[in-house]
Amino acid sequence: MNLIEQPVCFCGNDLLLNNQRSIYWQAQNALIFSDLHSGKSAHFRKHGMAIPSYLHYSDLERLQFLIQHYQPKQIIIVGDLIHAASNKEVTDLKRITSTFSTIDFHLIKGNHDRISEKLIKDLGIASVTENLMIDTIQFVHEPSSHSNLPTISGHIHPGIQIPLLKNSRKKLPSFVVQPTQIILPAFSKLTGLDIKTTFDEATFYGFHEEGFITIVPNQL
Amino acid sequence: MENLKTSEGYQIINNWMTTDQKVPFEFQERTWNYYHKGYSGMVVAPTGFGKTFSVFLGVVINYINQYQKMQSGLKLLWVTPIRSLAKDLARAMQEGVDSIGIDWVVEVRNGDTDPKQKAKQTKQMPDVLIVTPESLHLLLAQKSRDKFFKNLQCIAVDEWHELMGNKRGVLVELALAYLQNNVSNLKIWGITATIGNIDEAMEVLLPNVSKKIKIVSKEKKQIEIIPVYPDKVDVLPWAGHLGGTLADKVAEIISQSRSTLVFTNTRSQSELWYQLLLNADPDLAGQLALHHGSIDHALRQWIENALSTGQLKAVVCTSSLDLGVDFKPVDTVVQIGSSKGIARFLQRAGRSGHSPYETSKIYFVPTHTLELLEVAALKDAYKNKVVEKREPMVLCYDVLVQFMVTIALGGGFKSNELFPIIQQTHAFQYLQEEDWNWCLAFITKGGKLGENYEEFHRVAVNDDGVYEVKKRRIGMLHRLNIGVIVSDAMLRVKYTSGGYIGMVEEYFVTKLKVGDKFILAGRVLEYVRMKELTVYVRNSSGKAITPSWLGGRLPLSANLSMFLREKLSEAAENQSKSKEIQFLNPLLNYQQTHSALPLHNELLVEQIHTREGYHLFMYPLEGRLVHEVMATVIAYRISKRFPISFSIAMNDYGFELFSDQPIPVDLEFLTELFQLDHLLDDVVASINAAEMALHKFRDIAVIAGMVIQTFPGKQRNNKSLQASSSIIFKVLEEFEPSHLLVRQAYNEVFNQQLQEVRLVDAFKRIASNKIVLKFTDRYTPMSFPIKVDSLRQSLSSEDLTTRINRMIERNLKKRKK
Repeated sequence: MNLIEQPVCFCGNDLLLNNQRSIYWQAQNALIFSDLHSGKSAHFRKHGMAIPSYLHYSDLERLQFLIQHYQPKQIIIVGDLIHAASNKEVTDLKRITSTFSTIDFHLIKGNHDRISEKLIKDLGIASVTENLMIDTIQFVHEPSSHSNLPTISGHIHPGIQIPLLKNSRKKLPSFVVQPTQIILPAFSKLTGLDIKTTFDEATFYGFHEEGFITIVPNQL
Repeated sequence: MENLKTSEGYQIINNWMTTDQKVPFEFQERTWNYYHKGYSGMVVAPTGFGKTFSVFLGVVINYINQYQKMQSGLKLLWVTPIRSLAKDLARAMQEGVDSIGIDWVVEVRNGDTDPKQKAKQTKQMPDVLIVTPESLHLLLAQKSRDKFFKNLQCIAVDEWHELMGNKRGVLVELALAYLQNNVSNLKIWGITATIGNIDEAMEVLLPNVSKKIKIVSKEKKQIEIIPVYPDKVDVLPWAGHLGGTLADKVAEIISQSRSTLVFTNTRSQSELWYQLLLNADPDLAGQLALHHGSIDHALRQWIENALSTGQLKAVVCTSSLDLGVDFKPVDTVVQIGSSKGIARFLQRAGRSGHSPYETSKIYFVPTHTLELLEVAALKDAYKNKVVEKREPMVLCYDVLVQFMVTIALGGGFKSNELFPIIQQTHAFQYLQEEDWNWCLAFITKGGKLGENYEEFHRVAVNDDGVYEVKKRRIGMLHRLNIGVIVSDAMLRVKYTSGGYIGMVEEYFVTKLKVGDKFILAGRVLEYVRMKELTVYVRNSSGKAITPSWLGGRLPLSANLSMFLREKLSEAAENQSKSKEIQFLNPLLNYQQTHSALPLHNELLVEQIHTREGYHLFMYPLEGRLVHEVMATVIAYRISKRFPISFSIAMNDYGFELFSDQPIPVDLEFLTELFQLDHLLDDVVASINAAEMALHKFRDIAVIAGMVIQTFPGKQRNNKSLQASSSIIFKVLEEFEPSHLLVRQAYNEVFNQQLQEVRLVDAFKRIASNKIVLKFTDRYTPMSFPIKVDSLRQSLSSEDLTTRINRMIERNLKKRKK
């Protein structure tokens, strides 16, 4: 796996964005990601759509790789950990939490996380809350434009669009970094991208397997 | 067997017609005769000559003759591609049987039919049922299907030429094969307008019927083609430029006719012409309407009714009115711009002057002067009775898996019984057992590698080897999504105050900013906001952009381009007597003086050096799709020898390679560029086939049921079932490249998008042609329209990252300026 990092300073905190869809916060020894949507392909299949599990496995493999690489003390999941109902793909998460049982897993509940808290805790997630405050940074699932607190969110699966040829564009997932807010890309590859929503004073850190592309819309 | 003419049925029908003072056409009598003898077959006749009554009365005569033997229930199943025709057809048939004096009930069953009516039909089928291919498949998805068709005598497939050549035709083929094997002694009759491959059309419809006959009517529709000349000839023509000046002439044609249909090629062009005509003749306000696929269904219905009753003076439309009910008051048709094909042009012409011996009048309005050549070509084609072929589709696995679930749903199937039935169809005659097994695996466990598709149970096999759908929800979703017409991601357009206007493509809206103005349904609208797949607008005025709808651009057909090449050649040899070409003389002379006019065995290449840079124009006259691929291949082949980057532009007549560096080509190198060797390798190397395949896969995924388009009612958890076909495609391409549906997407790209067969033919033709290379310092009449056409594509073989970086660099540079 080709891990490329992009340091940013966020309200006085040094964070490392990476092209494997997560943030590492050294000061807290925390790995942060959002929108894993686990169980999504199985949910589709249950409803008659033949969508394979390949991306589910590749998502878990990437998570495992990141944990082994950063050796974090805690993992903060900023919502939408579980796509819909519990199924076999969802319970695969247990393998990870039990392999790394010394790590604290926090889940900030997202709009998709509708299964019972007990089931989530059974997966090895120690804390399940609506929001979470660590040091000066607040974690909530849905980004908002009003909060003054430094906030890290997910939910919208941000992306950027780069014109390549006259009639073709390349879409890339991206981090959105604003003065007091960071929006994470979706951790799962089985997700679409929102390339439409605009943000004030934002820098887009789009990424692909070989690196980052930084775009400041107002400058272009 | 009794002779037809002495049979009771014939006597009754003959008397009935005589009292109505009608005489059957010869082809109708022949159809009755062959139906009487137990034949299946195909009737070929122009619109307006009573095609319907050829087959329909054949069935009626047979019924009267064998009255004693007949049992109650469905006798004739009438398949028509057009929903709007069904009601009128049913009325005409019902009136017919009523006045003949048979107690038949004729009914319609399609998406517009009231559910109560459907439930009644399910209990007791009428004698004649008019369906669409989709509603026929829905019948096959019902548990009681075999009961419905028990006493079926005949299936008539109307407008077969409209069905063959697309996936709806495959739906018909599959349903026919299934019913032929489950209903004994079933007769099948196709009805079609003239197409280039009539014999093949019959083979596709009736692949395993030995008693079959082709009946071609001798009657021919008279058509008069009238070009609308501009006041003067522009030596440098460009598309769109003539519109304004010719609008006055079109307005005059409209005012002199009772009722006129103005056909355009794209929805945006129709919006434009609606405005132009209103400006040209403000009196038309209120009597002029606009009709295209993105206009509200109810409004379209109203327009169609108003046309029938003669309330409208004219309607500007797209192919949305190519087919369907005849509008009696329409006596004039206007075609704006190239019709791109002969069949299409004649079809449109036929929308005026319906009664059999009336002459249809069609005016051709060029969008640039050079298009007048097409009039001459069309006249020749009409005289020589040449029309395009319709290529039947084969091995559409997406339609097959849908059909398999349909049959599994309506009572199940056994693999060893259904497989040979499927192989009887034309579309799947070469279906391999291995691929059949893949399809079985696909519907039962998602794919060959079952472990990646756990919990997938669309279809289950029971102990007797019967494939069935067990889950109610799966069945419901499948029924809602039967069919092969996949709509684009369209957004509804509504006033903020309420009131629905029409649809636009999502991709167009993403480019809009609040306050931007655009034109829809002839109104100038201001974009206010977008919410939940609805675009809210308010009325506005002033300058506005016209939405472009994707996929509106058809290429010139192979047959029409052949006639065009002939016409140019005639002009070059000064042999043409056609008025259109004489009118174009100043332009043609200019072309001849500054460059050349290509003879039919020549390929003209122009090298032009202007202030902007270096242009290489080539004119194969093969239609824009072929040109697009050809240009890309030629650019790729040049760049293999010299490192050079091009931008590409094309139209139906030729293409341009443009560069800021000199393009060093000579005759010898040109000949090499058009070599046939490694053609397909070079195509694959130079185009982005993956992206094109992704585009095709969107439809395939929906048809195969991998992406669900319609959900029942408003269910809360639908959001968690929205899948994107592009993600699925990328996953499958990476992890399961042999996936049949992915392979199908690539095949469709090569057959349809790249028109592989036509491309190879074009290269072959050019290889035997003489290449004429001309150098000039200015644009020529043939090059100018291409130059103006802004479609551009730059070819470059650098990898993704450098491309992206260069884009950004360029953006930064622009800012500094």
